[in-house]
Amino acid sequence: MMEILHLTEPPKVSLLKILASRKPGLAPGETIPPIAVQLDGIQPRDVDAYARVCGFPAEDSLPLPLPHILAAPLHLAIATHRDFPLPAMGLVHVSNSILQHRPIGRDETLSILCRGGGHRPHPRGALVDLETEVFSGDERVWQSSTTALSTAAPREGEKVPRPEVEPLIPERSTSWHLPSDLGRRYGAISRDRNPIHMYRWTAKIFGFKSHIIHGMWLLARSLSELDLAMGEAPTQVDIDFLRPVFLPGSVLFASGPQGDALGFCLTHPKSGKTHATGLVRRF
Amino acid sequence: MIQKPLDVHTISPPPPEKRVRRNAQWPAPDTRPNRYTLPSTLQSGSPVGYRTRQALTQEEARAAMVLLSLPRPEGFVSSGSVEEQALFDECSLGVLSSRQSTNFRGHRQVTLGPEDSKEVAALLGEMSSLESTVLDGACHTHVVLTRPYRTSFTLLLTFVGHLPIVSLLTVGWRALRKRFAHADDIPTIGFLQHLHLGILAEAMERAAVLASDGQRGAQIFQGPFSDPNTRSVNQAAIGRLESLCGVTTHQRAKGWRIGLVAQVGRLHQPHRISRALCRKIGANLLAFRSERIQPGVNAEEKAPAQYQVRQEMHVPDDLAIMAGRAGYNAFHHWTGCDRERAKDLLLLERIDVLSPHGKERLREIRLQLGEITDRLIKAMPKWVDWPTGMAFSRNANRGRKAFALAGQRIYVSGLSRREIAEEGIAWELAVRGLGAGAARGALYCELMGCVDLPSDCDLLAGICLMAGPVNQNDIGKSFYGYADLMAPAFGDRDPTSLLVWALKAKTVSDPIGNEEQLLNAARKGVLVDLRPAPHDVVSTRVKGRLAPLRKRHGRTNGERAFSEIGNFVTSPQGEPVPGNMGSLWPRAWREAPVWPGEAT
Repeated sequence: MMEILHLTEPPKVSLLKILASRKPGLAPGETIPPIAVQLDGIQPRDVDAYARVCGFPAEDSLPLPLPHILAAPLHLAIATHRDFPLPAMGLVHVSNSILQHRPIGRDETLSILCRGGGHRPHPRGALVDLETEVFSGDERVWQSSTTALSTAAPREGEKVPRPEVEPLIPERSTSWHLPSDLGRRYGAISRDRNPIHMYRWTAKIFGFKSHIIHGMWLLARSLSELDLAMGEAPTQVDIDFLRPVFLPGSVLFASGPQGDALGFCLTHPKSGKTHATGLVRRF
Repeated sequence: MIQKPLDVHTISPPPPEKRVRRNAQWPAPDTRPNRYTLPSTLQSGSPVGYRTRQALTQEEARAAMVLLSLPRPEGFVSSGSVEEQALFDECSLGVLSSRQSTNFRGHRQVTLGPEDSKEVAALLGEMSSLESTVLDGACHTHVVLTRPYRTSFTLLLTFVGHLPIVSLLTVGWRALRKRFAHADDIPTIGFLQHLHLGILAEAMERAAVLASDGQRGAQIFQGPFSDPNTRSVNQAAIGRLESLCGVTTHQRAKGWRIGLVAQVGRLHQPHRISRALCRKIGANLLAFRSERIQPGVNAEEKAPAQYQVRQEMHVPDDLAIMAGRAGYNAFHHWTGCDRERAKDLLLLERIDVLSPHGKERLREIRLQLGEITDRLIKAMPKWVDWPTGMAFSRNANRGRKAFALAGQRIYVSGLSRREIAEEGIAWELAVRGLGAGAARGALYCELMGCVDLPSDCDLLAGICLMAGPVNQNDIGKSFYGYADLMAPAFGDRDPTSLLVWALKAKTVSDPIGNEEQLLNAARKGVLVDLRPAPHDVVSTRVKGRLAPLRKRHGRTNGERAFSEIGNFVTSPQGEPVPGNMGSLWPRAWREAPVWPGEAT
């Protein structure tokens, strides 16, 4: 049985602490021990500000990806836990899968449980999954799986070819302009002020040619563009982040049927290279 | 005011072996894109996009004729606020797709809700020179602001017509007068502003009907705002209207003025036109505006084979007669002159090769315009041309393209200042009426070019409205002693030519492109959409505050209006141009009333 660390308030982890922490990375044969944290009595915050920065109209229920930012401090608590062997700074968000069981009301009080542990080998290091569940009372209303890649691990995995997927038949396509301050604005709401999202010069320190937008903003903005009518039915959203989107910049968004799901894709307007692909399924 | 009814007269497509389509492809790898290839993407907030024409049946075309002879509304019934989507659709067919030079944005619009509309109606009631009764019960009111026409061409004009050496002083003096007194280098540049407004008024009237499936109509007033005399008489009320629309001193100094006011309301007797047809016509109107019909032919060497084909299509005389009828109807409608008198006042000279002596006349005009260009280049002040690497001379030379005259029916249209004055019509209002007339005649032909459109043709008729030849002739008139373009035909009537109208019957659309792409070497091959997004030019006044249309939560419009019709340009294999199809504005926003709680 995994021990769950119960928190009474959202953990405050300073950027300085993250930068200063020295984590050894995974040694051969080692894996990540199970770590779980839980926070109760959460009132959704910054809903309107989140809607404004991600392009959602104001509605009675929470935007589908919003619980992720409520869970972000817990993710950080796991990533900076003393038993977590990987450096938090080097974790790259590569995919996300969200299952919303029903729309969550703005006035609901929530509990969030996050769990990490184990890893999957990857040709460039290790893939780490963070599982998140959101409860309203005893009812599980939302869950997600966040996958991050760390290069501070033995490169043991073999390159797995991407699974064959049905082609996306675009029915809608439009372009977005992403201003330079977008990362700072989203960072202020999501509390994710990773330097790679802030300024060109802060991102350059970490090897990026410019600052990049948060992957979860791309997901949120894609969902606001899809403008899904939120019925009571469960909705699953999967997204793979393939290439970063540099700021300031533009992306092309396309959506349409993809097999039995609604697919979407973000590409670079000039090179045509894919930044992210996603699928939405309604049950 | 009675407008003559219009009948449907179609253009027959050529035999199948002579039919061609644009069929543009993406450039092969390692080849440079050009205006004959498909653009790699479209990044634009304009509701237009790149669209294709939708075939109309004869029955649909007959039903659509009502849109070309709309009467002024006689009254509005009370209603609530319009939904955001309907306002977007209406603006898309109006100010957002109005005919202007592609590289010029001379219109802005402030739209006021039911409560403010009452105040506007009261202000209009105080004004003189109104064309019709001010109506109560408007659900919204568009106030269109306009500014003098200024582009790279008018910059070039600053240096035209000066004497050597003295030009060092006279150029500066003219530049100051242009900047601060909004004086034009040549009269026809000033007339362009009014031509564009007339065309816009015509479009807005139809837009109100189409966006509401025939339920709403527009009462448009241009009289109080058209000429300096009536503006001066109505100064106080216009000033208050400008304040209501948030016109700042800075904007006024830049030349922005109210150009027209459109009251829109729910009609007592809705027009009998189905929703399906309204949507189809709306999508077609955007298709007509989605490409720039080139003034000349596209048979240049590098053009693909489909542009080199001689199709020998025939324009029926009845169609040309009906286009003229539409034009006279519009002139009568917008100036208030007698319908039969409109036929005398509008001066039309046919100059195409199919008319008697047309070939000689065209040659004569080309020669004259060429001479004027030569003189203009020769007299260009060297002190400005040399330091800029002869940029001005080169641009003047390149401008010859704009005077290319090709088509089965080409008319020079104009007015006699003397006769317009005798008729008691303000000159500027008459110029607007001519613009509206030319646009309505053109729209008739464009619609006829879609009737029974075969699937292997892009269109059956393309229209080009040009001011280029008239402007060039005006340079000759103003500075080098040339006579008006229409002088040989109407010399005794003191004509002022204003617009050239060219109808080309053909089945291939012109290349996707615009002036920026054509003129700017650095941009060649790269598609730049110069058409405005809603937030660029339209503001709504809600609870006393102006807010740009469709700019919210960091988002701007990505929707193409009437997109459910699906008439988007694709490759021959049916692949869409990325970014062209657009995306819908969120339902919660587009279905909400723009002025919640307000009613007429």
